[in-house]
Amino acid sequence: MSYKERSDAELADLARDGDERAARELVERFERPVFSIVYRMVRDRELAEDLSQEAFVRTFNNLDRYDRSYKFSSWLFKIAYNLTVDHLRRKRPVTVSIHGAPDAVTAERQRATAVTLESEEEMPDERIEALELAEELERAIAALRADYRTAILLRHVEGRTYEEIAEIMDIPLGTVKTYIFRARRQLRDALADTYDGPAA
Amino acid sequence: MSQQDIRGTHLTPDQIEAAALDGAGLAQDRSAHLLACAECAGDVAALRRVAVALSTLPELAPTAGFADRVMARVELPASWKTRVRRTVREHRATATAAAAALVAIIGGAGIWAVRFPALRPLDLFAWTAGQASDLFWQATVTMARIAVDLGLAELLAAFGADLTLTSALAGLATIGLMGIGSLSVFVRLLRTEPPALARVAR
Repeated sequence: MSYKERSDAELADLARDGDERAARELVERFERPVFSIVYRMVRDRELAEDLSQEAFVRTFNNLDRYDRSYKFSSWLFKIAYNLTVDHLRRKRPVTVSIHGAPDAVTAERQRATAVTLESEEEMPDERIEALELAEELERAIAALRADYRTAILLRHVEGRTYEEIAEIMDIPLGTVKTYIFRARRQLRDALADTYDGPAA
Repeated sequence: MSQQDIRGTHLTPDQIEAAALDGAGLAQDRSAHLLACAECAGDVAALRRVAVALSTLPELAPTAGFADRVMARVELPASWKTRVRRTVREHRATATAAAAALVAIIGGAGIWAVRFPALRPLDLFAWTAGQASDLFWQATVTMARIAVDLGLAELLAAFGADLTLTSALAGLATIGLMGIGSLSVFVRLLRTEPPALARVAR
């Protein structure tokens, strides 16, 4: 059976026995989801890469502590989430524009921290509208509290269950539901103008 | 069900989620309320729009070579093959002695089987055990003498520390003594005439 066909748990077992190809397969399988969540938390590409990389390294270097009763991905997300939250606690809260992080003082830094979407040249109106909505959505997500942001991204972007989110964020199930409910409300309010047009 | 009952209680957040994301999943009275209540219907529609918008968010990718950079920093536990290779490399002398002893035992057993085919294995084992017991006692006495000569405290300290020249020499001496002991057993066995062995067996 090839590595691509193996389950996450099987690959984790192989990696625990020193199989580097299994570990690499897990990295390739989860680098995008982990990076996406971390990036949307910190809004800094370079920092998001550092934190994601650290999350993977800590995950693999502590594989002997991995409890197989949990999903491997939940454990990985938990480590990534804790690292990111620790970083955010040390820094002041980040609520940034889609055009870049607030501390991006140079053009290069602005490019590095901006959410890059496609060029609007020669695109159909529908595509432009979709991009505008995506920009608006990214902006609204960035304005959420960090824990609301994590919870809603795990639920709606990663498709995690409430139980998994509670496990990853190490909070009670009821709190997860509250966070997601409030995050949805805020997103709904933030996107109301985009859907309905600006209020008169 | 009266119009008042239907309008009575708005949907809970869980019910709004069930209606917006699962499509079905609401009890009959709750579905009826949803049809009659513009506020709850608005909540369901808004949640559906948010969920759809979130599901279209692009997945972001780190820069090329991310996996390589991760793997360069990862220290996985060594596989059993690597562990064996490393142990052999680190304890080459011990491994060589162990391999030589194994070859000697197998070879000796083969020669013995050819030279004394009539001897029963149990008798041979009993006789060998007796000889080995004598040799073990002699080796123990010899080791004790060496320990006294070298200084017992020094010998114990050498074993307690990481591999040093002294502990390596002590280890080699132990292995050497055991090797010599094993060889002498074989030599004595080979020199012993079959009739004598037959007497031992009886």
